[in-house]
Amino acid sequence: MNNQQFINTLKSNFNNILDVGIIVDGELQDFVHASDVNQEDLEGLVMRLYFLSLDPEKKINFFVNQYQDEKFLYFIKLEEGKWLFILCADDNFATLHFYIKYLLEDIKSNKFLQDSDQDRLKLQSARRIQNLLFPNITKGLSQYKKHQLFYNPKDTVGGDFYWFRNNPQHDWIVVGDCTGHSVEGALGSVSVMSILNQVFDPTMDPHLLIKALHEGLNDIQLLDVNSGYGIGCEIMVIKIDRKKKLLKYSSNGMPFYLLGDKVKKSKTKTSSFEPEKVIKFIRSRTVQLENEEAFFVHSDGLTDQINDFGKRFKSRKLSDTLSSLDKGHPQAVATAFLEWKGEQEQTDDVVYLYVQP
Amino acid sequence: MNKIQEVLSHLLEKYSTAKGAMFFSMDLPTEESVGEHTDFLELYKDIPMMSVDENFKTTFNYINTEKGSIVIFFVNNLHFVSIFVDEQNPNKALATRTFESIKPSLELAIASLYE
Repeated sequence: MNNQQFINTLKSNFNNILDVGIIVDGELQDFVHASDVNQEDLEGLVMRLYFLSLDPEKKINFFVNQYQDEKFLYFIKLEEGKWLFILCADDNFATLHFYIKYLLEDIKSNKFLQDSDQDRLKLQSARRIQNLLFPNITKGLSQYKKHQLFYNPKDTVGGDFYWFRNNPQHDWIVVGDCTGHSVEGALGSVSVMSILNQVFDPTMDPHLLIKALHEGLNDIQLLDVNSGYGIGCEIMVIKIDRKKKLLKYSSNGMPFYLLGDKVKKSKTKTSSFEPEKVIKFIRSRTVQLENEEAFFVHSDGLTDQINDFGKRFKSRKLSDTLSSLDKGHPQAVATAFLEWKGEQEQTDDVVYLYVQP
Repeated sequence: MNKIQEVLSHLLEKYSTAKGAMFFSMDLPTEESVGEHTDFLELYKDIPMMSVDENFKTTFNYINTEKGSIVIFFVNNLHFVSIFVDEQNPNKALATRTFESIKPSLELAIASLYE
C-alpha cells in the first residue's frame, strides 16, 4: 500500500478528516488540503512540530494539538523517519489512533497484499463508488450536540451501510446490515439504498419505510430470501423531530439503545429473514428525548467480534461500555471494539451511530 | 510554597493519575514544578511553545510517549501547565474538568506575578 492508498483508506473511514499528509525524512508528501486553514501556515506549523518530535530522547508515539475552533492536529509516527499528520474536525483522535495502528498491523501482516494488484485496485474502485453512494451524514447531523459514525467494513467494501434524509422539520437516519460482507454485502447494501431512495416518503413513519423497503426487495427477488439466495437486511430507521426532540424508530432486528441516566436497550424480535412477518407485524416506537439523552444503534458485527481468547464482544460488554460512556466521547465504543479485536481478524462489517440531539 | 506551586499541588491532589506538574510561560521568567517526573516535562516544553502561532489558537496538547503521557493546557496562548500522567490513554474530559476547576486560582496566581 503506497502513501496515497493509505491516505485514501483513512479518508474513506473518517468523515471529519480535513487535511492529511505524510512527512518522510523531513519532506512533506501527499498533502491533501481541504480545510479553511491557510495551507502555508499549516505546513509551517506541521514542519516545526515534526522537527521538534525528531529528538531521539523524546520517544514520542503520537501527539495532538487542539485548537479553539474545534480542530485537532494529530501526529503519529508510522515508522522511523515517517510521520502522518491529520487535521480533523472533531475529537475522535483516540478512535483514529487505534484505527491507524490497526491499519499498520494489517499492512505489516500483508493483509492488503493478499489480493492480486488488479483485484485490489478493482476493490478500491468499488469502495470509492460505494462511498459516493453514502450520504454525508456527518454534515447532516452537525446541528446536534454530539454524534459519531463508525463505519469499518471487514473487507475493502461491505454490506453495512447508512443512509440519511432531512427536511425542515425531520431527520431520517437509517443504519443497515445486509447479508454477507465484501462484494456480496456491498451489492446488497447498494440495492437496499437504491430502493430506499425510490420508496422514501417524508410523511412515512419508520416502520412504513421498512415495509416499503421489504416490498421493494420482494419485487426484485421474488422472495428468494427464504431459499437463501436473496438480500437479507437488518435495518434501523429513526425519524427525529428536531424541534420537539421527538424520536420515532423501528427495526426488523437491530437493537436501539437510549442513553440517559441508565442505558435502556430495546430490540424487536422480528427476524429480517421473515419478510412476511416484518411487513405484517412491524411497528414504530416513540421516545420523547430529555435534555442530555442520546441514542446508539449498531450492526451485529460490533457485538460478534471475537477477541484473542475466542470470546465475543457481546451486548453485555457493549452495555457496560455505554454505561460508563462520557457523553462527550462516544468514540470510546470504537476504542473498546478495536482493543477487544486486538490481533484477531475482524469478524464482520461494523457500523455504529451515536447521536446526542 | 508560592501561589503557582500551591495551585499545581492542588491540581495533583485532584487528578489521581497525575504524578507531576509544571508551569512555564513565554511572557514571564517564572518556571515552577511540583511532584515527580518534572525533568521529563522539561524535555517536552518546546512542543507547546512552538505550537503557539497567531493563526492557530492552541488550547490543549497531548503527547503520548513510551514512558507516559503529557497533557498540556494553554492559558491565553502565553502560559502553560504541563502534567505528567501515568497512563497511556488519559481521559481528556477528566483532565479538562480538573484543569478548569483550578483555572480561576491559576489565573489569579499568574496575575499576581505581573504586579
